[in-house]
Amino acid sequence: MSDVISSDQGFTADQRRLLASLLGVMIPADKGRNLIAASDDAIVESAIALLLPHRSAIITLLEQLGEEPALWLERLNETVPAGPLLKSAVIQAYYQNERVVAALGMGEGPPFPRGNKTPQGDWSILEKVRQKGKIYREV
Amino acid sequence: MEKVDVLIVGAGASGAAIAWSLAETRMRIVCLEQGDWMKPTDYPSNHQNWESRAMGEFSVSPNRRGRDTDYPVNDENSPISVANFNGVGGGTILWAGHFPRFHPSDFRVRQLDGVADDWPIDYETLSPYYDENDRMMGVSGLAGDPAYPDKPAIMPPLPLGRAGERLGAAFNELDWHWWPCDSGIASTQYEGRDECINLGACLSGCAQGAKASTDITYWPAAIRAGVEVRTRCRVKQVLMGDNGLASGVVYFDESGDEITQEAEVVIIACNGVGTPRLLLNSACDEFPEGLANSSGLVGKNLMFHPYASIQGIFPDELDGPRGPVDAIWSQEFYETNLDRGFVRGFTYEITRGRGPTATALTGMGSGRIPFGEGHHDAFAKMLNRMTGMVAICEDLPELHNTVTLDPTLTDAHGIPAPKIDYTLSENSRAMLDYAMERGSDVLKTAGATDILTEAPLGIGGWHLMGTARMGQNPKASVVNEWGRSHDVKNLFVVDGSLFVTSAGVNPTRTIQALALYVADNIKKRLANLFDD
Repeated sequence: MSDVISSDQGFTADQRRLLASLLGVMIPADKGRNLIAASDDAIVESAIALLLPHRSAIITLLEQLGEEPALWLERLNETVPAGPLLKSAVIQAYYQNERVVAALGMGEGPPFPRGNKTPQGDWSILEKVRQKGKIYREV
Repeated sequence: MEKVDVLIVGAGASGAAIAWSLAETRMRIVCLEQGDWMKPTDYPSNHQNWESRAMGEFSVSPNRRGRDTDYPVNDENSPISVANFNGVGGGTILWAGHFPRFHPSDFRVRQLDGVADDWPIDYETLSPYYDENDRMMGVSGLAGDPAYPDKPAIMPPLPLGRAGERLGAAFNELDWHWWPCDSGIASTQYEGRDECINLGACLSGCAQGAKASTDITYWPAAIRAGVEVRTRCRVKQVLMGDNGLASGVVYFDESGDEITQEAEVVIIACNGVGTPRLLLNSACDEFPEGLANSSGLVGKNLMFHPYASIQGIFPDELDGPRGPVDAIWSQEFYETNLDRGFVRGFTYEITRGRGPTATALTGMGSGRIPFGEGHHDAFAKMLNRMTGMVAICEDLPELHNTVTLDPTLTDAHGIPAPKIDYTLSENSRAMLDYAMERGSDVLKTAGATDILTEAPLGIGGWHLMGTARMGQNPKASVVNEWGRSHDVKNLFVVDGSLFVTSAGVNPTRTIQALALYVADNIKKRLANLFDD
C-alpha cells in the first residue's frame, strides 16, 4: 500500500515483531490462492499507520497477549476497544495491499484510471415490466 | 465589500442551480461556500487504499470526516446520523447519483392518504424544471418506466450488469415492478463530462468526472455567466436592516476575518440542517426565536429517509464493486396500500456490490468471516458474491423531530452547532420491517443463500428535509409557495428544507427542480419582488 505513510514511530522493534506475528495468526497465508499472510512487512507497515492514533491501547493489548499464539484470537475478542480497532486495521491493510488485491483478481493498481468492465446484461427481461402497464397513482 | 444584488449561501445542489438560473439577469451574484473546490486527483479512487480513504477523509459523516471546512453535528439523540459534504458541489460530491423524481401523488398526501399536508405546488408545476435540470445535470436512464408519467431520457441507461440482471429477473418472477434507475452518472460523454468507466467508487467522489456533482455541471456555466464563488467563507449570521428586509450576512473568510457582505436578496441553500441552523443563529430583536421564524417552524418537522438495507450472498460471482453503485430500482411498494400495515411507501434502490475491504469488514462484523483458520475460505464465499438493495422509506413530518442549536458544541469559528432530536415513527418502523421482508423475498428468489438485513441504517442520514417548509399559510409554513420567507421579503430558501413531505425517493432532483422554479419566480417578479 504505497500511499499510506509508513512509520514505526510509537512502537518498539519488539512490539512490531509481536504485532507482525499476531497479524500472521489473524490472516495466515493461503498458498493455494497465492495469498500472502498479514505478517508481510508492507501490510504490517500499513496497519501500524492506521493504529498509531490508538498506540497506547494497542501496546496494552500486545502486553496482554501472552506466550501462546493459539490463544491470541480468543484474547483479541475479549479486549475492547483495542481488539475491534486492530481487526479493522488489519482488514484495511490486508485487503488494500497491491499483492493481495491482484491475487484476488481485482485488478492492479487503484480503480482510476484503470476502470472496470461491467456487462450490459440482458435487456430483453424488461419486456415483462413494459407489459404490466402504468403503476403510478393519478392525482 | 461592495453590495451585491444576490447573495447565495451554499454551493451545493440547489445553490448551484439557482445561481446558474439567475445569472441570465446580469445581476451581481455572489455565492459563499464554507468548503473548498474539489480536486478530482484527491478522490479515493486515485489511490490503492481507496476504501480506507472513503471511510475517513471522504466519509459522509461530518463528525467522522472532521475536515476544518466541516461543522460538527450533535446527533446523539437520533438513531440516524447526518450525512453531508461541505464544498463546492455539496452533497453531490459524495452522492450515488441515484436520481428519481417525485411522483404526482407525492405532492398530495393529505388529499390521497389523509396524512401530513399537501404541497402548495404539484408535479405539473415542477415538470418543466425537472426537464431543465435533467439537461443541466445529464441523466442516464430509459424512457417508459411505468412507475412515472412520461419523462425524457438524456443518455442511455447504466449497464444492468450481473447484479441488475439477476435481481431484475427475480422481480419478474415475483411479478413486481423494476426499471433501470435514472442516474446522474453519465453513460456517454455529455457536456464536457467523460463517460462512466465503472470505477465503483461513486460514493467517495468521481475521479473520472462522469458523476453529476454540481462543481462540474452547473458551476462552470454559472461562473462563465458572471457568478462569483467565494470558498472557505463560513456564514455566521443573516443580518436584518431597519426596513424589515435582510441587509446581508456576516461571514468568516479563509483568514478567519469577520466580513460583512451586504445584499439586496439573500438565498439560503445550506440543506435541511444547515439552513435552520443559520436561521436560528440569526435571531435578532425582531425575530428572537430565529430569523423568519414567526411560525415557530424553523427547524421543526425534520425528515430523513429511514433506510433499510437488504443484502444477499450468492453462490456465484456477480459484479462486486465493478460498476456504478446503482443499477435498477423498484417502486412496486411505492403507493399506499393499507393492507401492508403502513401509509405511503418506498423505493428499492438496487446497489451493485462492494470492494474487498468493505466485504471483509461486513463479514467480520456479521460473524461470517473468522480470523485465523478458515478466513480465506469464508472471504471467498463473499467477495463479489454480494448484492442487494436499500429501501428508501418515506418519512412523514412530525413536529418533535427537530434541528435546534446545541448549547455548547460549536464549529471552529465558535458558531453554535446543530443538534438533532429525532425519533423513528411507528409508521416508518412498520415500513422498514415490510421492506426487509419483501426485499428478502427478492433475494431468495434470485438465489441468495444468505441474507443480511439492517434498519434503520445508522449512517443513512443523507436526505435532510422539511425544516423550513413551503406553504401559503404563514402560520403553518416558513416560506411561501415560491420559496420566499413569509416574514422577510428578500430572504429565500431553496434546499430540502422546503419539503412539505419527503416522498419515498432520493430528493436531489426535486431540490434542484425547486431551485430552478424559485429562480424563475424571482425573475418573473423582479419589478415587485418584495411586495406582499
